[in-house]
Amino acid sequence: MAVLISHPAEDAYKNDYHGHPNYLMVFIALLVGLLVLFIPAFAPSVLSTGFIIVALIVATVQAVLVAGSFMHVKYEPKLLWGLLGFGLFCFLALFFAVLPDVSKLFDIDISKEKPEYNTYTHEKKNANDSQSTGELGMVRGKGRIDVEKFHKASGH
Amino acid sequence: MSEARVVRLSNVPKGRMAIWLLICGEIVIFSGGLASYILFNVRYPELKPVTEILNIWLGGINSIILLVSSFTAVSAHAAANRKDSGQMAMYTWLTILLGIVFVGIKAYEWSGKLSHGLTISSGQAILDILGHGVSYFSYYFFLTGLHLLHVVVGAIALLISMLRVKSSGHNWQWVEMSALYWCFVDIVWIFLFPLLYIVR
Repeated sequence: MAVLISHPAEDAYKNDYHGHPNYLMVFIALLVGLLVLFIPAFAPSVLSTGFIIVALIVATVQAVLVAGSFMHVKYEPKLLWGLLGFGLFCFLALFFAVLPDVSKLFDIDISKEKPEYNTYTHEKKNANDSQSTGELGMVRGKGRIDVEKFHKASGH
Repeated sequence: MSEARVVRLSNVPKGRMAIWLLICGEIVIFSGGLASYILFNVRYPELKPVTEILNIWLGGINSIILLVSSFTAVSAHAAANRKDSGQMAMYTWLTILLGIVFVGIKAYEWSGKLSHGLTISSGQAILDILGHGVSYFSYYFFLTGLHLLHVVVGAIALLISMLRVKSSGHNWQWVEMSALYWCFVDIVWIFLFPLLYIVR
């Protein structure tokens, strides 16, 4: 059975100190980054998709500076990097897993489509039914539900 | 009977590891909120003009306050490493004071919005202003409110650790752990500020 060693608290910290970076220089770098983010307040015309990407990159750099220098992550062992990577993975997984459902890029406009049969129920469609809904009233590709039909179908 | 084998999992002191585990849990929580907010903006880009209601200057001042407070928090940690209780206490008090100022500015911002009927469920208010009924402000109040809660908890942790160290002359590592948590709170705001106030 494995047991984690526990040192007397202060001894562990006494042997662990590794010095620290120049906090003042890091702070000045953070302020410079913040000034970049303030540009839209003076010149709203610069706001565009490109500037938004720049703003998010600046924010990421600031976060890396705070984590690496202020929080001393760069001196920590790889186990800690793995823990932080797990948190980042959760964000990326949630974002990219849900993105196809909400992005309008993935919407299918079926108002002009007239498939031969309903893709949910595989029933022959009515020729006049231009926007078919499935059994539960779901409109394919739009993520919308015909609530009345949903409740009737599910018996509520 | 065989003896238990002792295995070292890491060279990180256990207190610091505990704080990092807490921070990783918080990262998962905030990443969920932030990802949800970004996806909301992807789905409803027409709501971006709503963000013009937010005051970028107040958001920017809050950003400066938190950056300065992170600097004072790590300075307190550096003083604790030198066993300099006077400087440690001074920097910790400065950090707490800046946290209080942050809370005050956030309260002023919120009061302005609440007085105009913009609440966490103010779909109707948005409908009246822009013709859209989707509640943008549910995200705003949730994200900033959760962050504000962490600021308050961080300030209390700093206060307790500073008083503990000054009274006992031991447990200097408590200052480090509180400073770590405070820097994490700053990192969250580093992302909240551009996402809420700039992306419009």
